[in-house]
Amino acid sequence: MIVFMALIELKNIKKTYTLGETQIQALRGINLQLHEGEFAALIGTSGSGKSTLLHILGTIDDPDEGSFTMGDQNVLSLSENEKSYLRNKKIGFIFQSFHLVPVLNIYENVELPLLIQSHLSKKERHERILQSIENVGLKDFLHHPPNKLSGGQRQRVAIARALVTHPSLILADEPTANLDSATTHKIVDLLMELNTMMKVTFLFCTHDEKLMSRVQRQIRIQDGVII
Amino acid sequence: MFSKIFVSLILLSGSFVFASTVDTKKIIEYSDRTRGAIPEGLEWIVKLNSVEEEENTSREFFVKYKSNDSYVESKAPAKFEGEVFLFKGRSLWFFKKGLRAPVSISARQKLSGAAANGDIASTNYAQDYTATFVKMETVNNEECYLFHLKSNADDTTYDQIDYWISKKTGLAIKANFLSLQGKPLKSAVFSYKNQLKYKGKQYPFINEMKITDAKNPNNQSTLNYSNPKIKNHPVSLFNVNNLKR
Amino acid sequence: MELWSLAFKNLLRNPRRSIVTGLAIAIGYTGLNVFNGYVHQVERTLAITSIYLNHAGHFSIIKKGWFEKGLSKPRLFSLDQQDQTELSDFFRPYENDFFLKTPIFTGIGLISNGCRSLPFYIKGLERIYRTETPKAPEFIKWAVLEFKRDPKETYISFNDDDFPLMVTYNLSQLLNKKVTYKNAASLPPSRIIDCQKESEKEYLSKDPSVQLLAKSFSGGFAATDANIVSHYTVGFSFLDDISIEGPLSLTQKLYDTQSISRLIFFLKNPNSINHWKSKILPLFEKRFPKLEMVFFDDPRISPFYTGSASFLDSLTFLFILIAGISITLTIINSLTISILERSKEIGTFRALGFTNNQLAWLFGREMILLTSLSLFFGALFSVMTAFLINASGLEYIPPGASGNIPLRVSLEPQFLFISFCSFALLVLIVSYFLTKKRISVNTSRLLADS
Repeated sequence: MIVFMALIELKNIKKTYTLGETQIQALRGINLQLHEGEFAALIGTSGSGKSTLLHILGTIDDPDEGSFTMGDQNVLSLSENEKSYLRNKKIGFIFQSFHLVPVLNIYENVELPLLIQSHLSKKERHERILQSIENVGLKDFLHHPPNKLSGGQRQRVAIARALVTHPSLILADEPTANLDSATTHKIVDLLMELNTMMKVTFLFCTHDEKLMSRVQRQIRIQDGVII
Repeated sequence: MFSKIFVSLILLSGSFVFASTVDTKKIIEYSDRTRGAIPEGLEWIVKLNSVEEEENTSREFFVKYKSNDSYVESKAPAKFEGEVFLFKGRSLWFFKKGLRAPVSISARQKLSGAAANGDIASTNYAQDYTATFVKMETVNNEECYLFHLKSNADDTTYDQIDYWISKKTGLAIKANFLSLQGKPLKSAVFSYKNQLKYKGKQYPFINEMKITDAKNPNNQSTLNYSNPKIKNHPVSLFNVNNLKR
Repeated sequence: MELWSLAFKNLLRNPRRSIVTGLAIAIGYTGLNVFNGYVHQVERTLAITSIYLNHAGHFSIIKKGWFEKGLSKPRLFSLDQQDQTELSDFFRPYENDFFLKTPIFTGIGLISNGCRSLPFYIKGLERIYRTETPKAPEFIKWAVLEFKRDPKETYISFNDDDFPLMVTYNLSQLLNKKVTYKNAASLPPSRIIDCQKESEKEYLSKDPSVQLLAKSFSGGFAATDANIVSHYTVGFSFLDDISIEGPLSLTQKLYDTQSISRLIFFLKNPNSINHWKSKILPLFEKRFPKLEMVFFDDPRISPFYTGSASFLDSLTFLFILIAGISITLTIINSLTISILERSKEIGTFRALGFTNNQLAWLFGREMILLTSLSLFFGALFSVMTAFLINASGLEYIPPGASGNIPLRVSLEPQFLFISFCSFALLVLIVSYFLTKKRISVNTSRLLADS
């Protein structure tokens, strides 16, 4: 896998939460670079700050201190709407519990992020969705609702949804936590395949040993710092 | 005012409530006699001149009176000739030739208009009111008894009357006609230049009554009485049913 | 799939809740429409009663001061022949605007059955009034059945020599006059009545003649016989004890005058009344400083109509307010639950790049769809309910009316449309702002809450 220039750069990222009367320093000065096309895992125990870091990388949370650039874009200077736009265009999310909309079928779930991309024509949108679903091997299940699918299939749908916008970065928070071993392997294979094919940067939060062994890069986090 | 009927007068001796220090009954009886309280019956001519909303009208009536009933026939102007007003007790009937039946006018309906004037002229104090002496008061340089009369019937036109009688002459000088709330509706002043011979004696008799509307003092009516005579009229004259005959 | 389609599918997420919420809105909207339909019917009936049956016309010409003093001093406040001529000249260019133009004489006096007298309030009208007014389209549409009687059943079928008179049912009862006059030969012979005797009541009840007594314009009392040719009602109970109606000639003869009390005008196009108020009225006022043009919605000429109409308007406004508040609270309730249930999903949508605004509009679309569908079904229910009520044949006595009128509901399409749009807009605004407020939570918290 060819690794290109730094896609994302974090410098001295700090984040503190207030829990009742207690202040918890979730991140204590994170410095991190992610490169285009990387297939990396963010590894840490529960409470290490990996989810917080993932959320900051996904612009769905803001650090208290530090800088965050994506390409040549200073992400922290963007407004909320600009961040939303950035997420929609450049970042894809895959969640542990899939987060599919139960009233929509597969096609419609994958279509969701494209609904707010007004620059795409209907034809372009349709082609992208079909391609995305085909890439995850679910083209025979277009009109199935999520509750008719297995866990693995649902996660594939979530992956297709994350990729349909052609993002630069995919962030996955424990994507295999709710899957059995066999399915986990299949999902990981799929993700690797997509990484190769689409040259998308993947970063996972995981403490799944099976997944850790298959990534190019392991980023370990402990007590809010990268070790 | 509703119309310009003026009718003859008054009254009866009847029973009255007496004031404790003033012989109310005797005083009112005497004054009533000078305005027609003669049991045998009377007749006279009344000329009525009215000013209403700055317009003058004149009418002439021939009045026949007996026992609190009055038969009033219109004589002038010609277009009203033959119209009859029958005051029977407290009720009033109107009739003219050609009508299938006479029309009754109740006491309250009389309140509006000149029917009220006729009612002033025909008020029966004895039958309809209870009199109480109030005080002595001077009116037109004459010391007068002031009596307050309250209606004791539901269908009288006026609920209360303030009545001034001269102490010296025994003649009624003035009367104010009031509503139930004591609000003045009309007032009347009297003068007595006629003479009436009754049972061998000459009595002063009313010759003029001026009635003024309390709300609009410019609206005035003057009744001039002439040729008063004692006359024993038949009772049948005052029967409503005989109006059509 | 479009965002509207997404919104619709979200409504199906909890069909029971959506149906219950929708039903609540639909029923409330139905109630509002049916109530407004009833109010509309009542208002129109009252207006038509005032205009055609109480002779207000679309407008009348009177002498200034007529309302205050016209009855006590009719001679001074009537329109004499010169007034009538000048008015005729003024209105000649507008003849084509009028469905009918006719004089009316009103007066008071006493009506007697030979034993007992009662006050009357008389209206003297030209016979053409009775023949033409039932042809007016708005009369045909709105007047209740009682008033749509055959004109031949009124005094128009009789000559002036018959002294024909119409007396209200109530007044006729009070006078004990049960029969009506057919011709001179049908009158029982005139005789002396002994009013004290009970047995005379039978004779009185069979004699359709009465005596009218009034103050004539030339001074003094005036009286005439008159014959009751039919009974009628003016629609308002407080007038039904004293009202009588006859030919204009009868009243002018009784009061010894050629003057009239008012000149009444009926417009071919009732909707042009505003044009008359704004354009013709100023010209009229300039030309006739001592006269007044009074429109039917003036409280002096239609006190019952204007008083009732403004009461009904207030009541309708109150109902609209209540309906609006109910719908708003229903939506707030439904929306709040929906947002709370879908907080994770909101987080997901944010992660996918939806802005707060877009999310607020998404929920707004859902509520708009729900409300619109509910209102649509509410409108259908309204039509069905109105149909059922109108077909039921139910009758009732409205306050102040003199008898039963059919219970009818007349739905107003404009009201349906305006209220539909207004409520939809209200829901959209409430949904948008409520959602925006409720989803202003950190996205990672929303996602973490799952």
